[in-house]
Amino acid sequence: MYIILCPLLILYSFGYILNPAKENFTQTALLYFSTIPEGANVYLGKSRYIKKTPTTIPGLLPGNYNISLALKGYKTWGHSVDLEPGKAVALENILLIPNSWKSEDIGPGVYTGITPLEGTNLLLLAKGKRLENYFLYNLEKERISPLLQDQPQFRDFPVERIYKKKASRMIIIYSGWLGGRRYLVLDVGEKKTKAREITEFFPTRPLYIDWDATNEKTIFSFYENYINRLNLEEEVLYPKYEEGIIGFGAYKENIYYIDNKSDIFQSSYGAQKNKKLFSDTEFGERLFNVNNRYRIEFLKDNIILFISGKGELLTNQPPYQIVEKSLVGMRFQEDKNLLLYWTRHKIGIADFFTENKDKALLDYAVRTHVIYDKGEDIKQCFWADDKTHIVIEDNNRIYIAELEPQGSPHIDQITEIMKNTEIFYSGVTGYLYYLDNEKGLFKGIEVIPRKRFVVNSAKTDDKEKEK
Amino acid sequence: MDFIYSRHNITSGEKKLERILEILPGALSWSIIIGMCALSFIKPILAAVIMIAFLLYWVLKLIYMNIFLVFSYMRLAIERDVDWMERIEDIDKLDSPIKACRKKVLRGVKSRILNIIYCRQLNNLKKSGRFPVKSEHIYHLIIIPVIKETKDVVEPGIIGIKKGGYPSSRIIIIIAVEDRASGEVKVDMEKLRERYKKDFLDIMIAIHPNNIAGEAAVKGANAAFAAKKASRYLKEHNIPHENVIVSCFDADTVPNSDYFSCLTYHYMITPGRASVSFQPIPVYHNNIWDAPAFARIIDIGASFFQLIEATNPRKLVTFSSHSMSFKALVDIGYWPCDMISDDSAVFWKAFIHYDGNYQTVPMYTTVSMDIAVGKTIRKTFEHIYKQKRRWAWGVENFPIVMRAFLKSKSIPLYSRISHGFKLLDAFVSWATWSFLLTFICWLPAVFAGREFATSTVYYIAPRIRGAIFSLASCGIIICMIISLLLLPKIKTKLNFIKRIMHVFEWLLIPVIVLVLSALPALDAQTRLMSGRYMEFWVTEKHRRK
Repeated sequence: MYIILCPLLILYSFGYILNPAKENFTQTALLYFSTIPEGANVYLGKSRYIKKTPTTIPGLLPGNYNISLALKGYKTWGHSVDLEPGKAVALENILLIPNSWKSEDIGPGVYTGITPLEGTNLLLLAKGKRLENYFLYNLEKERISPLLQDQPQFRDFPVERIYKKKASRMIIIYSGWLGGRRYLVLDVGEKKTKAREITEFFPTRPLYIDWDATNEKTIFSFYENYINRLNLEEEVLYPKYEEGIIGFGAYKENIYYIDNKSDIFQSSYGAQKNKKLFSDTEFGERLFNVNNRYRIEFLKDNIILFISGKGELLTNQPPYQIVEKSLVGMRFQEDKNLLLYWTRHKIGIADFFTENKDKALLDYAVRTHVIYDKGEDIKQCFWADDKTHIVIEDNNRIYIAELEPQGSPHIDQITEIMKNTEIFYSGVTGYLYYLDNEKGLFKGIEVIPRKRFVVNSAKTDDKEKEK
Repeated sequence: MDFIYSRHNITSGEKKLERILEILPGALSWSIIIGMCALSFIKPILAAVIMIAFLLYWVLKLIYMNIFLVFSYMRLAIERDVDWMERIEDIDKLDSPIKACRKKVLRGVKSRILNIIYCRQLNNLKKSGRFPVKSEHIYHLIIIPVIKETKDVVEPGIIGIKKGGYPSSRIIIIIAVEDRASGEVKVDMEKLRERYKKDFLDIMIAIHPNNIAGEAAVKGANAAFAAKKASRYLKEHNIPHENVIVSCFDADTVPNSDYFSCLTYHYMITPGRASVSFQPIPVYHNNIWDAPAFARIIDIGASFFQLIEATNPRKLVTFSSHSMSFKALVDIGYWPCDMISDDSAVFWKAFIHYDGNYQTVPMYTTVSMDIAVGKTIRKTFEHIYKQKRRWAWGVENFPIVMRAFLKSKSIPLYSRISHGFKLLDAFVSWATWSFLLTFICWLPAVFAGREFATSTVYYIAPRIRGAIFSLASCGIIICMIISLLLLPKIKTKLNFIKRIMHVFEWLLIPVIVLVLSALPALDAQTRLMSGRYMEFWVTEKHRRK
């Protein structure tokens, strides 16, 4: 009995079924659906499948299928898929768009800006342009508190620009020329935020300021072709700590810089031991433009990005260039090594996971593809729900786009926001935070239902708490 | 076949072969576990397909085992009603039983089934052309090895023998005491001898000296020493060995009241009685309600295993308390004196000695023993783990049996292949199946790369797995029912409640089998593989007073 059943079962698992019409075994395909929320009716063409989502439909003959998912209170979701023999197409976490999105008032009062502190559970909310008008919102505790509880001397400090670093609770505020070109460093905390003036350590305005989130005692400021190092604890400035450089970044208590010969060096804090990581003048000069200035960012130990002032995005893995110009922003998904990047008009994904099978030529390859190219003025994008959706801010409108294994993404509008304000989407709470376009009220919309995130985001929660 | 059934005192060539064969079971088990883990990572589709094939095999075997478990239990239940003494009397009248079984007017399904079995046994005897031995010539010799057990543990067994349906005046008991046993134990055994010497033909004490050359500190050596003493006794009293049935019981064994009459009957009607062993169904009822749930379940499982094995007498191997012809025991050189698993080793020793013409006759009567309970739950867990590891140490027979099979020209090839394969398969599956079912079958999905995650196998495999496990859960229900039927009643008001709670204890089976069955088996095989031979650890047994 085993000898008969076993091969039949194995054939079945590979999708083979007995096709009575052809009197032979035909290899079928399979569809898997899961939706948020669950319980949607599944239609293949006009036929309704007996089960509701999440569900698997095996035994489908290869070909093209028009799929619809319908749930009361939600817009019908439709898509066309091509099925190949022996293959499964998984349409997971399909976010069903409600007929109308419900927004909630998060906090009282009218605001003029939101500044998320990425990698922490905090948002900065602004009611004006002075520090006394800034407030802190805790995403987990859902509480708003003043940013500066005491230190009255800084209350009227003008805020022109905020320098921040992912996963760091330290921010640097620049007052602008109206405020006398002053710099303030803040250790942000709900109970107490400590502010300190560090203007004296910035003789001129740097191109950018960087620090390692794991070591907030040391700040680097990058000027035209040198960096200054500032030890905040000891309040000591090391001017021209490194010179003759065109690019710089800090990571895990090391600094990395590109010199004007396009060589890349690593130097540990304080020890000043320079280790040359890369030296190939010809290749380097083709990759880097000595007239540009680059910010070096590490996504992981082996994934490095170089972002030029003109918006060129390069990486250390072939084919090296991801964006030619005008990069607006990017967001990295650590679990799957996916980088979401966008310009004003396009959104793309760089996949660092895929190994190039032709190993004779290349060890790794980053695969990029553009997922959306009809943007008007894309400012922000966020990964949402296990990387199957992205939240987009385009021309003061918020959209949710679904990334699918086949075809173009589904895109639906969620809401409109106040002009020239930022938004924040929290993967932990599933909420989109924004200022509404009418009154500037601080609002939230639950884009991905919260209980779905209790399990999925436990890990993210722990990681953020660790940080 | 002349063969030294031991891994000691063999030629260097045989030692090398012995070593290779010792490594084989453990190496296979580890290869399966590690290999499947690695395959799940490297080739998840292939691993998933292998797991599907394995799960199907497992569930079909489970169904097969459940069917035979039910049949075996039914036979056990039916044969409880047999009056064995009446049958013995019938056999003593030689020819007439065959005619009698044809002529009987029977009422009820049970009676008809019993009669069919009876007539079949008598027909086999008739076909063999041999005469049954008269019951008046048959003696029973019971050897009870003791090392730490006090009279509280041993006495119930002796009382059980005394009160049994078979005349105790034809029973000789030897209590085989190790010389290294404590003074208290020796005194206790002497007290038992004094108390019960008039109830049996004789009760003797055999003190087994320490440090006899060629012997290890094992129960088999103690039993063999006592058997040699018994042999001299029988010669002195002119009792032929072929008329004696020897039963080697554990110190805590309490035979069923019909055990010896059932045994006598089977001995009488088995054609090749001098070359068979007799295996009852072991149950662990002495202290079953005092034991924690996990201990109860695992030992009921052992009983179930024996019930299932009893349905295939051609491959049945003796286990724990069992009986055999004393002549056969003497012919093969008694129990091995350097092996822990004397109960199964004696079967293989006899099988090899008689060139494959040796088998075990299942008896559908029970012997009850203790569950290895400790003073605390933790101690109980340790005792049970060690006991199961000792049972699994029966794998030490594999290399010796295989060497014999490779050497033998007289044991039929088919018999050697089938027995050898069954022996290896039994130990390897004992050690690996739980791991495959509990952990490894999920691994391909855990390690699923994109290639696997876009195949139909990725989605269909869990459905198949779910269907198979659902089917398997029916097997658990059957086990629950049979365990309820098998359990002894407890004389408290909580009998019903305890029984119902016992049903739910079976839900612990996946964890219990993994930790207290598969893991000890893997432990034992790994020790054999690495040459760390186990010293005998005597299972502690306590009785609540």
